Amino acid sequence: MRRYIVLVSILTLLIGLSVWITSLEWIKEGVYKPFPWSDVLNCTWSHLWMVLIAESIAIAIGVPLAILVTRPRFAIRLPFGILVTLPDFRKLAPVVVGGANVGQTIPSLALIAIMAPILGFGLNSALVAIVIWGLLPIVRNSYAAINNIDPAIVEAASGMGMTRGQIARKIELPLALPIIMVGIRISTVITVGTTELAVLVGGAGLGRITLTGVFSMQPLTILQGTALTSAMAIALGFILEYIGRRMTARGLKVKAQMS
Amino acid sequence: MIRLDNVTKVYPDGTEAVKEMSFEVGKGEFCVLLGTSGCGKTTTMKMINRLISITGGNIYIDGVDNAKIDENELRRSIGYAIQEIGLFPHMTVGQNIETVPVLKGWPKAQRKERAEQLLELVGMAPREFIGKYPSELSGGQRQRVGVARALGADPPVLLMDEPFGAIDPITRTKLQDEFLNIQQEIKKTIIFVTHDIFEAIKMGDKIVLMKDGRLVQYDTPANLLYKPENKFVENFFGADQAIKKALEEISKRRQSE
Ligand SMILES: Nc1ncnc2c1ncn2[C@@H]1O[C@H](COP(=O)(O)OP(=O)(O)OP(=O)(O)O)[C@@H](O)[C@H]1O
Ligand SMILES: [Mg+2]
Repeated sequence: MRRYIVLVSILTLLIGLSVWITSLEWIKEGVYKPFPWSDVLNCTWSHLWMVLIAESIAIAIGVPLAILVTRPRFAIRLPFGILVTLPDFRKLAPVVVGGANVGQTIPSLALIAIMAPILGFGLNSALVAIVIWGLLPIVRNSYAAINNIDPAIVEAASGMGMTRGQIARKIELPLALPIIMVGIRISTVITVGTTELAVLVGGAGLGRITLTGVFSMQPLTILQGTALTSAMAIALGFILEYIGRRMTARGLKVKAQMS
Repeated sequence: MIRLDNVTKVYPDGTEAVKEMSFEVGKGEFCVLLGTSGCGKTTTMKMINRLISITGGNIYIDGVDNAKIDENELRRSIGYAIQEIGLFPHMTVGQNIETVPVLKGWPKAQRKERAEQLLELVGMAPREFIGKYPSELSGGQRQRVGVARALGADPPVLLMDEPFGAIDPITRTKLQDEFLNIQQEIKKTIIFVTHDIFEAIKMGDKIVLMKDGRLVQYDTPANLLYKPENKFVENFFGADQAIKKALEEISKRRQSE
């Protein structure tokens, strides 16, 4: 409950700050030029949209990729009764997880800067860089979540006659889900930050306000943008934490309380 | 009931874990696989439910070669309990016990009745425990739930790999006694792995004594103690007079029962 109060007050403070600066427009015209309401709202929306799109793509790629590199050789049945045996993808784990670790050491600004000459200026290259950066915590956490499941649990399951699919759905996924969700939360918060930089290669978002403030050395304009960005990161982080908690099986929560 | 015929296991890395093992366990018999660490007990046991693939010989269950049975069907008809227990932490005690009945598609009411009955059998009040999670149980209680889960769908055969291995001596003795009582009631065909000679003598109707992947002597506890076939067997049980005395004591107590 107390956390909840702190959260709401911080959010109110940050959003209030930005609202206050935005309304200064009327008073301090000519001295500081904060962005007008319409721009603030536009930038906030486009920022939020970019985060949601980038994050959805990062989840859609990252989680399956992490799951794939924990699977030993297996066969899948495609439509028309075609049976395909896939190789042992665990061999790729060092490459994928190692890649994710190394990837995260590249500064996000550099990554975005690299994308521009490759993919051209504009929303797409910004999005690609943001997705790549957002992927890393998702891949790392999802991989660790699945890989760290007590092997005795999986052995017991298969010893009782669960199929590979049943083990994946009934055992591995529910056990890994809380930690996968942590990865998604971290990734989202990071993505809110990296999206600030999108404007550098021609994207949109709150970065437009913040960076305009930086380049024209107007602290109030910087605050106008960063306060909203922070508020967005905190709010999304909180929502995802809540969803993660809801998705955690009760038996795992009991454990968390006891330890 | 279970017959091993010249069973051999060579792991991909070349380790010969089990060599030409042949023995037969009768219906309702309690057979202990005994031997020092690394002698191939677990490997032998896991080839019965095909968790480990066989590289030579055959295993017959009720006369049927287990290689010819669908592996998941096979495992659902064989109870399986291991030292690490492997209870599913996100499922209640009841749900854990119902694992195999769910896989077999039993109706809900029947599953619940079975879970209650099994909790009763392992000495845990169903009302109190059926809705609890594994993390809320003591080590001994978890072990009991592990045994109940292995008995879930009333399989005729039970495989148990050091099921009481990771428990304090007092609770362990208690669980052993309880389990012997349960076995009186359920009369399963059991293959039980241990490296504890006291446990082997106390629990087994028959003991497979193993050394370096080979069967050394397959006999009743009394015969292993009094009629060892070779020096290795004699030393294994009787190297220390005090141990031998204690073992004889246990063996006598069992026979008088
Ligand atoms: N997956 C594996 N690959 C290669 N060798 C293995 C593998 N599993 C076991 N072994 C080897 O096979 C031999 C028998 O192992 P096993 O686990 O059957 O022994 P055990 O009698 O159950 O021992 P313990 O009492 O310590 O559990 C050992 O030498 C072990 O190192
Ligand atoms: Mg073993």
